[in-house]
Amino acid sequence: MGRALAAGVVIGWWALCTAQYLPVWNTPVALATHAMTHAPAKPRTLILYGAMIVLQGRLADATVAFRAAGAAATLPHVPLYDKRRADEAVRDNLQAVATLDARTRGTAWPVPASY
Amino acid sequence: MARTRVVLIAGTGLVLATVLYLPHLTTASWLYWESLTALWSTETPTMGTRVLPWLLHLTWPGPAETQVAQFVLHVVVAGLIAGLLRGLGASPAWATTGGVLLLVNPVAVEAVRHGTGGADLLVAVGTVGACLAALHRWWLAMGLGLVVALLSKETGIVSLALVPLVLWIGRVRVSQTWVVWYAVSVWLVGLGVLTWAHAEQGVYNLINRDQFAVEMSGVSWGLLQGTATLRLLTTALTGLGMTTDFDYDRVRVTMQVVSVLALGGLAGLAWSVRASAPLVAMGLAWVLVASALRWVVQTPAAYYSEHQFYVGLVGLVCAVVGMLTVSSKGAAQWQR
Repeated sequence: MGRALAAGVVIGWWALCTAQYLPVWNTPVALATHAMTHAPAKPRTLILYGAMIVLQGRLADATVAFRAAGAAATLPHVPLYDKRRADEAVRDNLQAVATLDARTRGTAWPVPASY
Repeated sequence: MARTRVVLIAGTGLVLATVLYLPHLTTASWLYWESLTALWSTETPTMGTRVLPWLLHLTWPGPAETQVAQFVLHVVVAGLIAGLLRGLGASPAWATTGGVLLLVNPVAVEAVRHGTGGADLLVAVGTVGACLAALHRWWLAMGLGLVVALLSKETGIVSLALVPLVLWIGRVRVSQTWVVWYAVSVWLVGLGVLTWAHAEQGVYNLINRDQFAVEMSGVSWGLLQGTATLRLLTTALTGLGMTTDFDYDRVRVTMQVVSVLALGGLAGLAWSVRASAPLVAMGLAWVLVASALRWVVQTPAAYYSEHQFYVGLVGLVCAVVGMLTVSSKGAAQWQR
């Protein structure tokens, strides 16, 4: 009985953490930070990544990568459980986010009107 | 009675996971990085090791349908884990609990929500399926599982080491002929990978494909990846510290060394409890084996992330079931 209770507590706790974390993936700050600051070299990696795409002749995609590198340099490290700080970071960096290619802003990188 | 309990546990887990995930998946859009992934997915894969994710993206091209498909794969892996635990001798109730533990673990979120996580989910399906089949001596199915893992992602190669681990813990006796066949198969796969890598980009690039962009020494990379492994393990266990943006570059070298030493301690723990708590030992060893490649192979533009840890998560779940069922006398009670 004790073991079953312990298993129930673990399942309940993990489910709570999952419920709290899942919506993070819908926020602009998550989209921005995960895509851009996940890399070891961060902006530099994105610049090199853009350069590789240029070599492949995909200039439009390369433009997005270069702009992303610029935005990555301005985004701070934000613990996403801290909703207040995350919101502040989004507001502070909205300009950087908004300068992205219109094609990306409309589809791949949605910035909700509430921001 | 036992059957009712299993249905109750499985039903609760499925309802819980569906309530948690589905509202977010059906309204999903591509992340920035994934739009490029989606772009690549419409082209013929140049890397032979990712054929199955390529087919997955071709079949379900939109962001919402891709993520719903990935959620279904997540449920399939949970079912396979239940089968694996059952095959290792766990009671039906504890085996089902293992599957539910995977379904609700917060670290699995990234694999389901991230388009590229589909490859990791497919590796998990192939690997756990192969291990389950091996436990039952269904050798053809085991081979099929290994092929699924190898055709899903480069990291699928860890399945070749995880099958013998499960056979050892499950005390499945195999003939010398089987060992020879398995070793020859592994050698042939290794030879194939090396030949492909040499033809594509040179053998050196197999262990450092992104060297011109990252410029990290092997030691620095190993320390940071060890740190990432310990952080992912701790986060998956406690549910705390979830973020899409953990900055490993900010971890001091001292702490990186401590992290790697802690992983060594976990390896020692796994070895020391192999007789008293085999499930814990197997789970910990699984996590370390599944992560080991990441410590030496410098992957393009990313430290060890949550979706890449998905296969390791299977081991963590097995270890947690093992820990929950260890009695005060130290003997595992997972067969009741």
